[in-house]
Amino acid sequence: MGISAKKNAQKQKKINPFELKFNKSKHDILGRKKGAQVGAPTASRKRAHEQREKTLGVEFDRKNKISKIVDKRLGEREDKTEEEKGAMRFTEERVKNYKRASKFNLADDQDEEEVTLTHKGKSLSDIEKYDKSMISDSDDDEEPGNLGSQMVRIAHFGGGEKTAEEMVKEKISREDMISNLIAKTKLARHEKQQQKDELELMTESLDSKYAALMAKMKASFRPTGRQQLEKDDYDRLAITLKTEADARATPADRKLSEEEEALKEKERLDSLEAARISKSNASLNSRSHVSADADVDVDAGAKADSRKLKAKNARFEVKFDDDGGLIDGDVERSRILKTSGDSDEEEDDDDDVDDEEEDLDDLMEDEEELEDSEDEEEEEKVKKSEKSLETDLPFVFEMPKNYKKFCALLEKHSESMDLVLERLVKCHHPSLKEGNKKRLNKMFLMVLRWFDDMAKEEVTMQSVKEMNLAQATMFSLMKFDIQYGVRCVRALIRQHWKGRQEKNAKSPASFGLISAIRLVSGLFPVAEQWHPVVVPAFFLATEALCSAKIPNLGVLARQIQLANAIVEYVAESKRYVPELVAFARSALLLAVTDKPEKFSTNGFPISVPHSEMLCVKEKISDPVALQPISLGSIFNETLPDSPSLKITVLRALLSLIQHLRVMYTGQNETYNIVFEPFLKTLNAIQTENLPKEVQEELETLIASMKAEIGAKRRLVHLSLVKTEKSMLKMLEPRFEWDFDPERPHKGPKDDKKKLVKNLRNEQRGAIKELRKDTAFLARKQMTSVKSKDRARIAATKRVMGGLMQQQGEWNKEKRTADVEKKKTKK
Amino acid sequence: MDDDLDQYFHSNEKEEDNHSESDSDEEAPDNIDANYELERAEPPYKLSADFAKFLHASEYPEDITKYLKSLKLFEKDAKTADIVPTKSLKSVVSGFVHYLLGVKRIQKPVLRGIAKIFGRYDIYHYISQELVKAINNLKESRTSAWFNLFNFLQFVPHPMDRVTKPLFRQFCIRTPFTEKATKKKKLVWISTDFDSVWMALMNGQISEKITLKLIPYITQNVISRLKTPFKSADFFFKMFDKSDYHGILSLGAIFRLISEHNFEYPKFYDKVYSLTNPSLLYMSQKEAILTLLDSFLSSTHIPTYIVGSFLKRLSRCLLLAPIDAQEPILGLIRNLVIRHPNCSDVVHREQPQTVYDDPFDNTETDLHKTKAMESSLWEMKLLQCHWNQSVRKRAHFIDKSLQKVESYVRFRCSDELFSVNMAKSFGGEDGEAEKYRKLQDGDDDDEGVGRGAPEAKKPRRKGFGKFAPKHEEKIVRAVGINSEVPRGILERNVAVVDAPKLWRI
Repeated sequence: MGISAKKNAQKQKKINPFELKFNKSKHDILGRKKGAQVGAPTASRKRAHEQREKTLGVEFDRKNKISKIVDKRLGEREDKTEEEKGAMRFTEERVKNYKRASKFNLADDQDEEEVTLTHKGKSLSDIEKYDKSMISDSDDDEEPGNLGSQMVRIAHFGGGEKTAEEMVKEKISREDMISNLIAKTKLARHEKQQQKDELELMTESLDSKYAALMAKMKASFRPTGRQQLEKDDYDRLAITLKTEADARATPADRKLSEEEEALKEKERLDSLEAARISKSNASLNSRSHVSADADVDVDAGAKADSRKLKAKNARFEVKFDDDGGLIDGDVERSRILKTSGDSDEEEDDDDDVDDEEEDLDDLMEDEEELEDSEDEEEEEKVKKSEKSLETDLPFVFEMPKNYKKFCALLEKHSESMDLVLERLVKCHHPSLKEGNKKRLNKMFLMVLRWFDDMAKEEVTMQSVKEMNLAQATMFSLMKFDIQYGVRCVRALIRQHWKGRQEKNAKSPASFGLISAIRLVSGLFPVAEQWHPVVVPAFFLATEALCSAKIPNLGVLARQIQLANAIVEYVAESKRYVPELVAFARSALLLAVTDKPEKFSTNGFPISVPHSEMLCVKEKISDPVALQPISLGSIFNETLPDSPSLKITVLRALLSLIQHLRVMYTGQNETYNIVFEPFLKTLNAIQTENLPKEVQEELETLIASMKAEIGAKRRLVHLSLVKTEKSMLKMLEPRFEWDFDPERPHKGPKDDKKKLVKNLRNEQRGAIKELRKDTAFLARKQMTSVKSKDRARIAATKRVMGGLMQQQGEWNKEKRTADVEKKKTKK
Repeated sequence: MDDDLDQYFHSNEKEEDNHSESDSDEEAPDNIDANYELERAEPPYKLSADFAKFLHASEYPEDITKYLKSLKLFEKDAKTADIVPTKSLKSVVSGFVHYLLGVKRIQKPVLRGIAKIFGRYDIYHYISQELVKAINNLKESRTSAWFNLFNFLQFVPHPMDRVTKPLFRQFCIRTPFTEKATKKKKLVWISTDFDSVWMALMNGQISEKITLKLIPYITQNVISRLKTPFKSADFFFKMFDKSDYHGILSLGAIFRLISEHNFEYPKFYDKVYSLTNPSLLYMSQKEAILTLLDSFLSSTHIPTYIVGSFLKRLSRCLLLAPIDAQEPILGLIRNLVIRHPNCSDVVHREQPQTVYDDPFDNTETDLHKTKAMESSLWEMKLLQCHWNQSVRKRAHFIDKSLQKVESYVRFRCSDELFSVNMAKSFGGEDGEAEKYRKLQDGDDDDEGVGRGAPEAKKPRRKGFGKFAPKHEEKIVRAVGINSEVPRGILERNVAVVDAPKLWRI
């Protein structure tokens, strides 16, 4: 090292003084670092170049070269004699072999370091000794082949050197010996058994003692570790899943996706339909042969269908009853979500086009126009099918093209409309065919119109049942295209609204209106913040409730029915409906002769005979009085104001008020404000002529209302809840204990500054280096290109020279040949 | 029919133009000797009944002017040598009064045309005298007569607004109206005519049906024109007892008298207070009522106890009010609280006290004794659960610190509200933007402009320059539907406490 350093120093000294460069400093500032005073740029440049040549240059040369040949022959590159090379190879071989052999040589290793496996500080070999006796006790006895070593020695190898004792014993006869032997072994065995028993006994007693002790101590200890939990449903389920996983996981049918299920259903229906048709054909022409299977098939299919329906109904009923059908609900919901996503995508462009202003009739007309052209061919088909199958219900239906045909279809199968509708839906699942979705939409519209038409007709059991069916069908159809369904129902609401606005603004609520409002609450969540259907329906309902004129009891009953529908809307969300309260308050005033207040809504009669329409003046002992109100009669005809009707309407009104009371119990501040007028009016009702039941109802209502009002008398004045204003963040002063004004002071920021500066410098340096690297590479490339060029030019020159020479020679020869020709000519 | 009327109306317009031309060149009749005009014998004329028939029959105003032209209208009185109307003119006037107060209802556009002739100040001078007499004898049951009268009077302008052109100038040169003395005081006697007719109308036995139209019109257009406006107060007091709505309307007029004409009316606010009740808000004229209430309470000088009582009364009304009245009244309540900082106790108290029952007495008629200022607006708490979202939001104003600036809430009838709700996008057309806008609307509370015109807001947002969103994202909001299969259309979804079976099909 020392020598090389010297050499370096010498080398540096040798630098040509003309190559040195000096930094002149103009001002000398104390405390500032001075850079290098003198430098040799060329030398350093050269050094850098050489360095690059060694690193970057090599890499550059190797660029695009994938592999290289490495000479691994021993001693070939150094000049060595043949013998030396042989020795080297030999040692190499030996080393290799040694390594391979020593891999499995355990003994050698142990020399170097003693490794013993231990368990709790004792070596394993010690422990093993005890183990053996513990483990193998029973085995010894049972296995007959496993004899003691002593015995083996004696029995197998009977001879050998004999001890003195043995010499004595030899005298004993062989039988004795054997019996002796047996006895001995038996004894040994017995002893062993005894020992074992003892051990067991001891353990047992110890265990029992411990248990007894623990039982006493249990109370005084804190529970530790995992507690034995009581097994609830979840645990039991988990355990069964764990233990009976195999049983559950038997290869059943996998859960089908919705599309597959639809397809399957459709196929089933198709096959059933085919079977049915063939059957009916068979019955038509008795000659044709029908297998018994087909018969069975159809009936079975029908049965299965009905069973399925029943099961479905049962399931829904269960769900309603205990409100716990979580799983079903979830499945349904997820399905809904899925379909809604689908539908949105597909319907997007449609939605943009159509505007919102449309009535149900408009929608209907649009559909009709679309379909008119296709009508005729369709009719033929229908006729054909009608001819062949009249008796029983087909399994597969074509979607009716317009409303008339839809009604005709339903009328034809009037006793099993539910099946018809269900099958229609199933046969046109959107996944089955392109355009099915549109058909289903149309079906929704038709069902809605059917619903509306039914609602406009007379109210009978049958019509209500059909309306329920229509509602259920709409519900199932809604899953396929929510947007469209929403639009249709909105159109229905708009139609009702317009009808009210235009002509009969003061007419009472029709059954159609009430059922439309109920339909909305059946199909849509009424408790949502804002819903495109529910809110307009709400407007419609409240408007109809307030604006109607009430000339007689029948109308009042209708309005109460409407009010009940509104109660359903808010029962869950407990929203406040001023119109409803106003209506109930005003209606209750009809039951009082001297009214404590004015009617709060319009439409109630002010003049005397009508304004006391709910006052029961004469005693009725008629049991008919407590019959429920017939919806059919109040909606279909105008009833005379009979006293019995008076009582029933009054009961309905009381029940409505009871609803209101229960619903707004949560309003602590305003409950009294709302219900005190009610209480006043209720108290003013003359009860002597009322039947007992109604009196009781009235009394309970008054009592409960009084109690509530009494409980809610306490009021606290309103006051804004003040939110704490967040303080401005105050910073602690930072003291520098060794403050020195001369020194630039350090702060937490200074370190960062320094680092940033370093980083910048380094960055700058790196950039410079990189630039130089590129310059180097460019130079190198240039030189290689130049050298190649030079070589090429040289080669060209050489070749050209050769060619020219050739040409010259050829020319020369030609010339001579010419000359010779001339000569010969001459 | 309508078309015919229009035509008629248009022809009238033209006629009017012609008149003005003929008026502008006054030279034409000057050529005739004025004295001859006065002294010639009277040509035959129609009696008043005939003239009324003639008016009913005549289709174009030219017919009437032509007839008038054929008459001798003025003559010189033999004794005083004054120029006085002839019998034929008198019969024209009485015929017109007959016509107007006849059994037949006259269409408004027709009356407008008629008023172009008979509403001119000179002939109206004679008509008004006749009319006053006729009105005093007019019975209440003659509805059509009252309507005709009212409609006709609507087209007769007060001289302060517009002085009509004289009619008689077309026909003769010397009329009583050309005398210097009358000309000087023209404005005075024209307005006296105006006054006397309207006062007669107000003192007459007015038909019930017209009053609702009459009161606002008089309030708006007549009161301030009258020489002694407070004389009309009698009329309003008469109207006051008819119904709540009449009461509030006439109070509106009285309020105008008070505020503009120094009319003294003690207990005005007691009257208004007694009229403010929920049934008022169910009337079809609620918009007018609401504006009146707003104007009554617009003064900042109303005593605190009155404002407090009104605050409580209005919020009590809200508990029973229909949807379209909710928002304007909520706005009014908030404005009142802002306007009268002394009343902020009903919304916020530093030390809230516990009381038993609402101290406010709703039945008390004396505003001093309602104890409203000891109460709080608990009603707003209930309205915070109103079924309508925007009402809910608006009722939340008590939970925030008060705004500094009042804001006006536009009245929207339920039909408008319904269509607003129907027009709202759903299912993700621009659901999120809608939501954002709605949020702003509800919370920012500067609905003075914003509420009514969300459409106007939209383009403004688009032009926000570099901060404007480059393209609006389409976010699909799923429309909720029920997850459970609906029950029957008549089955109750409500858990009924102990309701007996009340209904059957």
